[in-house]
Amino acid sequence: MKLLVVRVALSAAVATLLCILALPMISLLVRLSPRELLHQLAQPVVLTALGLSLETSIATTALVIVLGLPVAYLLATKEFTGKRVLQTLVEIPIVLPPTVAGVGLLLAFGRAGLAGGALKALGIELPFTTLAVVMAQVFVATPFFISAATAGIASVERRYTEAAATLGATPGYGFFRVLLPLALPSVLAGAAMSWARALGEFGATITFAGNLPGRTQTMPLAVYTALQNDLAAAVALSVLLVILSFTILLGLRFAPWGAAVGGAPARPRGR
Amino acid sequence: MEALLLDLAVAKRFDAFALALETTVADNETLVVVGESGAGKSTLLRLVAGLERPDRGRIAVGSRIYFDSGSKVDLPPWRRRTGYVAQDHALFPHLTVFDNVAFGLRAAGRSPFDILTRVTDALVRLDVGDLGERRPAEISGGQAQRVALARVLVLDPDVLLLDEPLAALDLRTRAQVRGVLRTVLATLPSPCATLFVTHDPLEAMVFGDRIAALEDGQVTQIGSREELLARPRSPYVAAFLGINMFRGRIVSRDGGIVRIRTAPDGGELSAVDPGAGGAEVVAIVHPREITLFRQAPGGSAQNTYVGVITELVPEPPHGERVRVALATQPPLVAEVTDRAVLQLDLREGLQVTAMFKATGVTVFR
Amino acid sequence: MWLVLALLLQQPKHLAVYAAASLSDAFNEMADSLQRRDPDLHIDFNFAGSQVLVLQLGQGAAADVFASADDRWMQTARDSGLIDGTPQTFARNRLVVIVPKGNPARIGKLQDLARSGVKLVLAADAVPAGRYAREAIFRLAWSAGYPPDYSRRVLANVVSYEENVRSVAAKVQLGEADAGFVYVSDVTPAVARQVRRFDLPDTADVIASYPIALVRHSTNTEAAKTFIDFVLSPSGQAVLTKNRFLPGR
Repeated sequence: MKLLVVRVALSAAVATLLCILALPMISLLVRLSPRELLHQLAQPVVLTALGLSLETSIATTALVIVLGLPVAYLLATKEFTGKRVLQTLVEIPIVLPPTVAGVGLLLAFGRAGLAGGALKALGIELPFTTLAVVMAQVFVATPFFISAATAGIASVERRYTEAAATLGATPGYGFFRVLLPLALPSVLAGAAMSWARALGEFGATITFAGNLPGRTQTMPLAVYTALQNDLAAAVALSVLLVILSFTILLGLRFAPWGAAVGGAPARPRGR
Repeated sequence: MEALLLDLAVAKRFDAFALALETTVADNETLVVVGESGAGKSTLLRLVAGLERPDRGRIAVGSRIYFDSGSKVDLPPWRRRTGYVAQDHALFPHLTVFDNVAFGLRAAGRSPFDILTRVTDALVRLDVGDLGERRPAEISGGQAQRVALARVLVLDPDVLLLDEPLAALDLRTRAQVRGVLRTVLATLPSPCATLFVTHDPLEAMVFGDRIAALEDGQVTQIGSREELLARPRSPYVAAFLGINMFRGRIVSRDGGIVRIRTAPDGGELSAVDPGAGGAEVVAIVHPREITLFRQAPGGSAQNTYVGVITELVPEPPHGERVRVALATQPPLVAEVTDRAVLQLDLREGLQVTAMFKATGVTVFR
Repeated sequence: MWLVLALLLQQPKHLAVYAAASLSDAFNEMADSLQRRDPDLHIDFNFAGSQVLVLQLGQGAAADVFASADDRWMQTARDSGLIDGTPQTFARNRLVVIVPKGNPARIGKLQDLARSGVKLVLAADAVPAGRYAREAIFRLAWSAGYPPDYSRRVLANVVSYEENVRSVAAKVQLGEADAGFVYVSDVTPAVARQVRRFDLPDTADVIASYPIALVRHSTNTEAAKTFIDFVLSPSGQAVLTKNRFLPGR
């Protein structure tokens, strides 16, 4: 009897959550007929936003990997004073409301911001530029990469890096030939998640970079702008975003190197 | 070619104990380090490899100084010419056997041709020549250990550090790999000092030109196997070598015989009087001096004990000699032939009488 | 029976007012007055761009009063059957141009907005203030003393289309934008300290009209009517004037 109650409760919980998560997306997908959908998607504003979104999110991911790997390596392998502060600092963007992040970026790197003068001297003015979009995305996406990469690197057993060292590998050689290859599933999973987050970024972007088609209007911004004029266009853009994000994350599950996030295990090599 | 001497003098403090060791190992000599787990054996190897740092001391190989606390030298592991083989081989799972063995050579920037010849040669020497394209997950434990050996030997290290290389293998594989290892160590192409850690007495006997016993971080004895067998200096060494060794006091003297009461259990032995001196002595009875009987035979042997057999262990490799552990007071280990075991129908749980002469006891202070 | 009625009347009344972003200061003040007079009254505001409010109302948001920043969105709401009765214009606003106090782009007159490199921020087209701004720019282009390609060059200088007029003011205030079109009511004393203001000439003066109306299916029609009446009353109008709005008539 108790088992039945437990089963029912579990099923109810699963069903509720599925509704909350799946229904909005299903509603989006069925709202427009395929013909209407394609018509909307052919609009220049949509293609521009799509191009800008892909451009900036890929640049962001590359930047996050290049800047994030050293930090992840440090956090995973070394002890030093202030380590906990660094860990917390790297996690903050997750809890900060994106708009707040945007305001912070503006106050720091805006023309009148803290670093504004220095940037101006170098001839750089950040707000309202595509570079600002990338910066906003980097800000919000970094924690996703670093936490996955740090965990991945930390999970590589020390005996492998020690063996490499005793065989004559400098730390750099050991990192690229042993540590990174063994941590690769987690690192790639982190990169994919941070790409997905960058793709969906809105609040920080609109506050720091502004909203101009072709220069700073990424897909989420285009959706929001279209929403007030033209529901059909907004829905079409949303559908595109949903499909794109869903594909990325689903792909993770099937790729062998997605094993780190619970995807398919690496194919065992036969005897 | 300069004489390659491993000059070792290190001290390191841990929570539970302090490690201190001072010795030298000549090239082409193997020093076997034995001890209980936690005694510091693995740490010792890690110190020489550079994976951990001594609190103070000096590690030098020939004229190359790896570590010197006095002049603040501390070479990182990748600049020391040590070959370290861990208990569990630590082969890189993402590389093939060939790439594993080639790893160090590639890190040193050797030419592809050089790499190909050396790696192939090493694999053949270790009898794993046809495993080149396999991954570590696809080969057996014994094969993996041999590949791990090949991986370090291919670099012609000055010092070979073997951390219980046979421990993770089953008995039969162990015997196999042991044979290969003996040949390899005997035919090293370049001068190399070897530090071999084990807890297996047989391996110690087989490989050790000299044996060092490490107890709680301190060296209690270091010498050739003959020296250790003749005069073991601690109960651990004695037990390790399978010898009965007791500390005790002389409690009475009578004609040239003394009675020694052994601490802590209070059993007593009769031994030949060692002469004038303190009452605190160490008494040794070699297992072969002990004879076993089903029934007390009578007679006047001074040392007679009755006790139950707790263990019957055939000695490797073929079991012609059998060790018999007795729950006598004091506890004794006797060594008899397998024929004797059959004749006497010895088995665990059986009560027997053990006897040895007073002249079979070696006493020293 | 009377006791029950009396008890019912004692229930706190919750009013939901959906109003354009530019009305936030004025309406908050009015709410304070009303709530002081009638402690049982609780007024909750949802301030946003008028276009967002209409969208939310259209999706069934429970509101009692809707105050829009232009007639166009109020009309859209009426066409969608979201409004009860006739909207009434309760205030007007005029558009001005503001630049940061330090005037980084050296704007001396409105013609300078066409100079290349000026960073201009407008509200998005769907936002009333955005539409008004475009109207103002076109009118200026037709006025004497302005070059023929004025509107094209000014619009080419836009670096961002914000989602509400307060964001425009914020960007100018922070010094990130060189200039922006906002309502005169958005130039609060706090904002005024950090910006310089340019009024539009009569020929290009754009007046925004703010209508207010009762939302259909409101569950607090009494309280809603009280609020609307107050807004139209002399006291309400005084608050609006104090906040730099023009009177409804």
